Amino acid sequence: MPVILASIALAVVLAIVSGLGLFSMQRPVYQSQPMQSVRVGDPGHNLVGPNWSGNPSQPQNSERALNATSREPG
Amino acid sequence: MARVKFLCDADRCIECNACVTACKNEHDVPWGINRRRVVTLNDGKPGERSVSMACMHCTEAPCAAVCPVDCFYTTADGIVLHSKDLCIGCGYCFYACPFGAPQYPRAGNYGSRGKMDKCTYCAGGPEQDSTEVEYGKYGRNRLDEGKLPLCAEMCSTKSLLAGDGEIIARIYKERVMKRGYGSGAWGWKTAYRENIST
Amino acid sequence: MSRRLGWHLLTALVLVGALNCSAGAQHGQDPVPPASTAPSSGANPTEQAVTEQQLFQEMRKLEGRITIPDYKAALLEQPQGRSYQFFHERLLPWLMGGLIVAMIAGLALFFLVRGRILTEAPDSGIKIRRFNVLERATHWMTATCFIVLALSGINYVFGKRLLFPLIGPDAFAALSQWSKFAHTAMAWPFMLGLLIMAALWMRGNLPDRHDWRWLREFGGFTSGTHPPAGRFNAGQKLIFWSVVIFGLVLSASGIIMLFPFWTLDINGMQWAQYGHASAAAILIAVIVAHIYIGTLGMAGAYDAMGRGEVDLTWAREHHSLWADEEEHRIRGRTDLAGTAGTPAE
Repeated sequence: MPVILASIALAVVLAIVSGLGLFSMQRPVYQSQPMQSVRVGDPGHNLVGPNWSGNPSQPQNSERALNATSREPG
Repeated sequence: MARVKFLCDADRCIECNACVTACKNEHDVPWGINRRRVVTLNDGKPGERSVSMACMHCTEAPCAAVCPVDCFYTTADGIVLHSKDLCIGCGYCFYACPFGAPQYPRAGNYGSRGKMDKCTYCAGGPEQDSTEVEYGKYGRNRLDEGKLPLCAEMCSTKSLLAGDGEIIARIYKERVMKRGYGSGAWGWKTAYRENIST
Repeated sequence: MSRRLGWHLLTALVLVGALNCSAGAQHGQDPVPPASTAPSSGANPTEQAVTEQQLFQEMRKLEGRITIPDYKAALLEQPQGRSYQFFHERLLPWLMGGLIVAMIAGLALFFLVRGRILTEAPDSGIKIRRFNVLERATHWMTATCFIVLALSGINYVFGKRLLFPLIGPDAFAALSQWSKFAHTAMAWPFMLGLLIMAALWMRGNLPDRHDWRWLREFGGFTSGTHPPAGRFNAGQKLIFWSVVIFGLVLSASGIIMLFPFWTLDINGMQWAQYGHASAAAILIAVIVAHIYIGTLGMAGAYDAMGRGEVDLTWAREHHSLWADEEEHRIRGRTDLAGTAGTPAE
């Protein structure tokens, strides 16, 4: 009986560990399917300014906005 | 009630992707999810054709049939919608869909692919029509406002037609007769089990 | 003035004449018109564009070029989705339900006819070790995983038909979500246990010369006497190899499905599903029989795996050759302590 209970416990522990491992391996599709072109969410590498958060409703630094208009948009 | 369908006239599509952009913008579709996409056949060769493809809202939808939690439902107009609350992200609907319409926000292991997302014919979901909650989950509900899907409205060449199945079939037939050829209504045989005779 | 006018008139006449000459092709002496206005060879490339039906004759599924990095989106149409629907909704419920119900019915019939298989001679009270701690722990770990995997797997097939009407959509969706996590998590200790069990017991389960007689006599059901058997009889060997082979099929197809589209395309993933579901249906039926014989079907069998020790009488009746070997081994060891007797094997 103790062997049986210990085996069940071992199965559950291994299952939880592997589940957590799988979950940590997962990536959102926009990361797992990378593209070579520009990504708006990468700060410093995009064309709309390094403080661009991806949220269009957040107010931008007005000076940066003025500077940005002089460049061609992507 | 009218049974609504999509029809993409492949002889007019110029692969401009306006339909893709319109859909993504209107519904705030997250990165990586492609509700509508333009597939180009015979790219660069004579006879190149592009087809704009999203959910066709099939008759007897295979996605609805194989869902293990029965999260799909068909409206009176023939639109196939699903509930993201019930969806467990198993992926069976993608295997069953002949057009690859269902999309999942997380790739990788099957265990937690996230809730399935797909074209809703701009008709929202099971939440109450035209509410913030519905918009957050399913996107804009244009049908509730009496409008047709935005992809077809934005099509630059009017190759993508959306609306009453009989009306758009008639429009397509007239076009084919006028110009003398037509590569067919792509996907209609598989989705609606009917051909447009031209 | 008249000379200039004359020149103008002459130029005009020449021009009009030239225009007349080039305008119409209906005059026999006219030059060949430029190529751009010549009638074509009759082939209009836009008319010869591919059609859906034509492409279906050439390819199984229609794919093209796309502008997004998700390569699955290049798929335009795969009619095999309808076949998948047929398998999943029509064929599989009958296959899985049919096999399991048939097995349960067969076992019930066997129990009614034959009853519980008891040892003929009374228990001797002497216990010999049948399975050690490692074997038992691995078996029970794998068995626990199998039960959870089987139940969660059956939920995919029958859940919406049997359970959904009882508990409603929200509860059923929550249950299915957690059963999905349990299925993908428990798969890993199952695969580990499967490999260990295969390593531990493969040698004992290789076919030997007693197996054919055991199978013919159906373990003694038809002949009335117990055929001889080693540590594992032919029936157990069938179970072992079923578990190993179908377990490997399940593991391989399961891993393919755990990482979708990592190695296979949409048709390959559909076949992974077909294999996984079919192997599961068969293996669940086999394990139902295994559970029956190990608990209700045969007296004294549970002790083998539950406690690790079996009664000597039971061993002599059901695994006569193995009991002989064990007795020789034990006696040989006690002989080494001093007294003369049969040597260790």
